[in-house]
Amino acid sequence: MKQEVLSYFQWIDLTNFALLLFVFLFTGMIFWVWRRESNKVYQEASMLPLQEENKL
Amino acid sequence: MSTDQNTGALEEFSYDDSSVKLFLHATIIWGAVALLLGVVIALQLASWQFNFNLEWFTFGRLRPLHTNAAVFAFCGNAMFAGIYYSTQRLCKARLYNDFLSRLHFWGWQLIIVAAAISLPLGYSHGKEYAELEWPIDIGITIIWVVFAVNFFGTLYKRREKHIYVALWFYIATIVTVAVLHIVNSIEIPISLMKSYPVWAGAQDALIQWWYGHNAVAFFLTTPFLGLMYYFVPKAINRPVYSYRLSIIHFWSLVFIYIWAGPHHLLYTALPDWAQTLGMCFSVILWAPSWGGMINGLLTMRGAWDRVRSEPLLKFLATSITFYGMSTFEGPLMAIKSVNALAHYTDWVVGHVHSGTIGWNVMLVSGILYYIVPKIWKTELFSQKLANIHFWSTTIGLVLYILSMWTAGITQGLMWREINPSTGMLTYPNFVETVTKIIPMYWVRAFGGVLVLGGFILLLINLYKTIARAPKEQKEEILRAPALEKNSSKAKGHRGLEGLPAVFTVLTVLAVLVGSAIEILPSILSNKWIEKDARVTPYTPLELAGRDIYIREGCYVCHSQMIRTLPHEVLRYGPSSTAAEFVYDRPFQWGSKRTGPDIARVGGKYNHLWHYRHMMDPRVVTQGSIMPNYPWLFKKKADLGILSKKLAVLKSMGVPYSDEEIEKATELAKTQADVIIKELASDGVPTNMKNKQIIALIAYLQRLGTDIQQEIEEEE
Ligand code: HEC
Repeated sequence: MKQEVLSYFQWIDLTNFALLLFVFLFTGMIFWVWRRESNKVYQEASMLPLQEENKL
Repeated sequence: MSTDQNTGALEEFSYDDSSVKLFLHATIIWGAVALLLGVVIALQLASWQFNFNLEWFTFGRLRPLHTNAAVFAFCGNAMFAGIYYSTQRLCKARLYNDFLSRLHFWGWQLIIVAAAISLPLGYSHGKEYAELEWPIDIGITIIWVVFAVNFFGTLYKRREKHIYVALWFYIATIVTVAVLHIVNSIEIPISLMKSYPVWAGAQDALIQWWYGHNAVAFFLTTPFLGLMYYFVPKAINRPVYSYRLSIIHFWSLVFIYIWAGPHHLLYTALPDWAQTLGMCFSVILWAPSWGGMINGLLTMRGAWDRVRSEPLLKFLATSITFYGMSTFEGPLMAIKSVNALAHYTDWVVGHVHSGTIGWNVMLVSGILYYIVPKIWKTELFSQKLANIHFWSTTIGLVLYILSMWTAGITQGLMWREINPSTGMLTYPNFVETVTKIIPMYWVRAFGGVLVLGGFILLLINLYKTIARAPKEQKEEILRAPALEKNSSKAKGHRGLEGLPAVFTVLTVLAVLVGSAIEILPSILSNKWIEKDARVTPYTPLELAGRDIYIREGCYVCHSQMIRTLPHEVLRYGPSSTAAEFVYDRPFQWGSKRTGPDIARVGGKYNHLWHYRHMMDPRVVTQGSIMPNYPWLFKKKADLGILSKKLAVLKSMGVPYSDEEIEKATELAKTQADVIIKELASDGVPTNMKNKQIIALIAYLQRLGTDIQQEIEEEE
């Protein structure tokens, strides 16, 4: 049964491609998230829960 | 910070805290109910007498009620309370629509009440955590949409540019739960409270556990991580340790979790590649989970001295620790060779509770101790009670986990033990492996009592707190600048306004990749399951019996799936193949063997054995903990509806002939006559022939025989 299902994925390189895709996506994301420029944005964002409401 | 990015025109608004309060009440009350039900069913396993021979009170019916109450009533209401509280504050906006908030609240409570009535009455799909019948399923869908509109409406109205990470987790929850619920609940109604799923057998199993595992992921994990990212910084008054890490945590979790479902089906008849895929992704899942745990714990750094003195922080710190502990245990148990030992045993039950009690109950308790005094504008009634609650829960939970590890591993080892000199099972008698672990069931029940007792203290503490709150609870008027809409930076802002939408689309994509790769082959490929010509549809009477099996929740104690492991073949017969289940709607593979596997029980005993066993299992099996089923001997089987059932099944591709459909009732009666004839020769009165027990026996005697017969003929 396994073989028959696998015959569905006839392109053997599909798995290699998927592996590379995922690795690049992941490392790309790490680099993107750790960009220097975004320091300020994240700094601000992380303070959001701590802001107290302006009462009237 | 908002001032520099806004026009400066202050808008007045207020928070809808009365809706949050309603959800808080519901959380506290349903939490106590869910834990009480847990203690009841724990006692039922320790001693079968606690079933009280009451139809609506037996383990098979109460266990689904317990899980539904814990997941959907307790965690559901807690999630809604926390989400509504934090979303308003993170968006600086009132909930989108007051009417929708109320509709959401009352609609959800109605669903819970409907579940609380219908499950004990035996209306059930027979699929774990998706037991509720189709009208309730539709109700859930409608109320979920109400929730979604209310939530996204609030995001749209927000006065804060950034969408804080907690909100991302909420978004993922809302969209993914919708997808999971709808796909897993596609069913065709037979009557007002009965339906059959369109998915069958192995395919149904795959989809159910894709749903089941992700119910854990997207109902018990992501929303509560969102709550963690909001309430932990709030409670200790410092920002999250690493905002960047939380982004990685979010995307990896959302992307990876969805693949892990097949780890519930290792060594079963599911195709190997799907099993391996599920296992690999489960192991990978360890990384983002621990990323999140570390982020949560490090947020608390510098506040550890306060953890010692403030029960609220104890709950939060412990919950994050248990999140780490259960997300370590989970991947471990998903490794095939570990799973071979753990699956079907109490180890899994222990694992689940270190997640639900350790993570969810602890976190929710902490959040409740934070929100309730704050929102009612008063002080907590007693820190001391909260402290006792904490220790009671912790000790109870540790007892729970230790007893279930012991019970599960002991039983798992006994099942697989083979005597090297004879090559036979060392414990061929299943019930031996049950009586061995009964003491552990008592320890577990005691642990449960401690957890319940602790929660009752919370209930008392919080209602005393609410009682001393100022009577006048007016909504405070707040001010915040509006997000500018038509400035020169319109382009940038347009993008920002679109952000929740872009975000939601990306999340859906992340979730759909894994879902599609795992599920689509089962739908598209006719080769996914090898057909077996020997397997034929159930006869009308067997079908009636099967629906009784589903109604009584026998699947919570019995599996119908012999794994591809030598000791299972020795004990139960040839491993199950996917082809054997193509007519099973729903599949009944089960996930826990409190009793033995019964995939091949057909023909193992005579009719009289089953007859006496169902009346009182202890008459034929000393020491059994299976409940008595006296009502099956009093109530008539509903054979009139069989034509309709067959017709619906035929519409889904089951090869019943028109004649069979038309004469379904007569066919069933004829088969019942044959069974009663054999029973009568053993002294059973013939007026039993139209009772439910006969249909159930017909079903049990059919199990696994399609393939057995052929083997016998070959020999
Ligand atoms: C509380 C868990 C529990 C529930 C619920 C339960 N059983 Fe059992 N069952 C057991 C245990 C334990 C045994 C083994 C001891 C014995 O033979 O009674 C068993 C044994 C059996 C056996 C004998 C299997 C064999 O190979 O010897 C059958 C058949 C059976 N159960 C059918 C049912 C049916 C049908 C239902 C639902 C109406 C049901 N059980 C519900 C626990 C349960």
